[in-house]
Amino acid sequence: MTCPSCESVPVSGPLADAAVLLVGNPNVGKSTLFNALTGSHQRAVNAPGTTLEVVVGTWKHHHEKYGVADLPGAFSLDARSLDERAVADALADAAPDAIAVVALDATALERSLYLLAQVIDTGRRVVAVVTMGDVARDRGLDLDYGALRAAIGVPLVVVDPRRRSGLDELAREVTAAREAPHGDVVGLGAATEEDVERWFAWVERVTAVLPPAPPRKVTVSDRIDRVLLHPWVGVPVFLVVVWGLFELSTRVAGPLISAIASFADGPVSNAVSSALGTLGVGGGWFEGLVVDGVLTGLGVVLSFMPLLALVFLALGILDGSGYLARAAVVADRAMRAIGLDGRAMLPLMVGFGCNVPAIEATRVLPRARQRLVAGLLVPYTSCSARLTVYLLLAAAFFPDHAGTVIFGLYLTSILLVAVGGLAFRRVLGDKRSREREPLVLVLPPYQRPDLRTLGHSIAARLEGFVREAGVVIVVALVAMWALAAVPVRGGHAAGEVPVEDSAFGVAAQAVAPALAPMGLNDWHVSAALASGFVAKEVAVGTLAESYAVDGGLADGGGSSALSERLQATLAESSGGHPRAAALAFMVFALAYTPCLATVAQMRRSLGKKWTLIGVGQQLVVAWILGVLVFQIARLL
Amino acid sequence: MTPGARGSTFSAVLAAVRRGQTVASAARSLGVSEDLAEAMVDEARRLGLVVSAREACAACSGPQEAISCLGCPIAAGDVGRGTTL
Repeated sequence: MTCPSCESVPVSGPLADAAVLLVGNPNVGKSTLFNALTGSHQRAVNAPGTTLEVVVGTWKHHHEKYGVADLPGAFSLDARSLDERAVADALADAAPDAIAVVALDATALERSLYLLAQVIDTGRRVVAVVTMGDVARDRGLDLDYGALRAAIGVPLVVVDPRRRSGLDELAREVTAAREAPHGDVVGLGAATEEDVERWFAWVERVTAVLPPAPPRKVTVSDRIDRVLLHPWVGVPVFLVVVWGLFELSTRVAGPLISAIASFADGPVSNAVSSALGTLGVGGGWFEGLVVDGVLTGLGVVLSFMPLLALVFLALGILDGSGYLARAAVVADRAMRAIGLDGRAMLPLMVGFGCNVPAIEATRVLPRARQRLVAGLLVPYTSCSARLTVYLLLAAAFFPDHAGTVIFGLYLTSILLVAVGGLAFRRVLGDKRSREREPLVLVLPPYQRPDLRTLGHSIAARLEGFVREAGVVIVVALVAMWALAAVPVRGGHAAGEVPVEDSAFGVAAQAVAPALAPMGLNDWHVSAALASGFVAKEVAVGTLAESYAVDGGLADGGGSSALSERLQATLAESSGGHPRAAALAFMVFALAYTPCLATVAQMRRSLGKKWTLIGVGQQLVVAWILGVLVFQIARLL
Repeated sequence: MTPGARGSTFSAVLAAVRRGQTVASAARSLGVSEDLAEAMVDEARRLGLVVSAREACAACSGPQEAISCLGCPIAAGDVGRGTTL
């Protein structure tokens, strides 16, 4: 994890000539000390190979003159930034007789001592200076500097640059160090785990001579975690919380959806029709395209905005509070219990937001086989785009339990990932169980979500939904409307064709029988599922548009009219079991290919062969699950 | 002080974080200062032994800034985002 973009560059110029290298953590008071030492005798130079500024100056003390370099603040010489790279390079490449003056923050001694341990290991002669002693005293920290000096084994001076105290002693120690013989100076290179353990062990030995820190109080986060991270309590509590949020969201959103749908169907549609009439393009195919095609489809999708906002709010609260990160830890245990690598949890968790970056995130996995398994599993994580399909069908067929149904679909998604993981491991022969590593996620403390941040997040997600999904939906619906205007049988004129004789209708009818075992043998449904390959939001728009061009929706359209048409359709296609068919529809939408963008990402990450296999097995799994769900549910 | 798998405080802190403890909680249960535990976790992160919740959502940054990346499910705990409990 060293800084990937900062190459080592040999140190030259004023930095190479400096006799004193000032080193320390950020905000340790190093620059204040530098100003006290050099006064106005200073200038800025660039660190070699970078635009990073390093200030160099001249320290005049009695008859001595030293070039001093105020190096950037660094926590470690295992460089993770350009600043730290510059410090590591300067310590390795400056003149061998240059002295490293390491500033130790008296209020955060352990961190400072860790850096000191690394600097000592370079072989360069070191003088340690303690800064912030007055702040430490004010905080009640009573440090025994004599004991500290003896423990660290290098000269130590306590300074207060603002009062210029300790500077004479520092000069004496620097002079003495420069006159002492010096050995070889080496760069540390990339630190190993053993190096880190050794440096921290040294820090602990040194701090053992200091008074112990006051015991820390048990926080609310600690108390909550005792319950929520408990192996047996954590998972049930998580499931209840998520179910409650979905249930609440769907119940609250019902009236809002109806209100917005009525507004879109009535005043907006009428206004657009009037406007087109005024412009002289009303009443013909163009009005059909705009009103029956694009406006109807888009209107239905957008009518779900309140519900999406509430679901985003619920997820935002879980996310912003730090709870979902805990869920990842709990889920990691479960994943490892069934034999999967815990680190695969990261892309899978991201997948519940969006599958595209989740497949990209599989790159964090160390082995190709793990990346392949995770990449094949990600499409089974229920991304937020699929919510629109769930919301339409759950609200239409299970109005009193919509939240529970959606919650069940998320559980099904988790189950698919777990079962799929086991199956892929067996098929792909990943038996190196000892290499399975846990997910070591540094958990943040629980937070009360900031309302403003939450509001911005929801607004941004909704805007993203409208912008990204909106464009895809409009393009797909226009294409679908165009296909519905092309006659392929019956001798109709273009644009005056009954939809069942159009290219769109014939293709959808050809596919529909394959859905019969799921109770979905209807061309409106098959067209919606086919268009869902482009993006799941398009599936809902396609349903609305297919009904609109096929005789229109009652009351002009909208989600309630669409629900009624859909209920009638599934009642007929399922032989009187519309709810069972609706469940099969949702499970199929969950399991089959999420969208074209995901397929493209799979192609980039997994290659052509595994993308084809992945898409194929998703379709097979979706069909089998849909059939099972329908056949079982219709018996209940 | 509870020893880690290798007997050092460094490995003990990592083991506590692996069990799902926050850094502060790990420090308290191990009897070390929070500052030292933070430094240890920071170094472990440099070595690639642990990942922070924010880093875990790194795939959502950059050109892949899709709708739901705005709410990467485990991106919680941004400093100063809300009130710490």
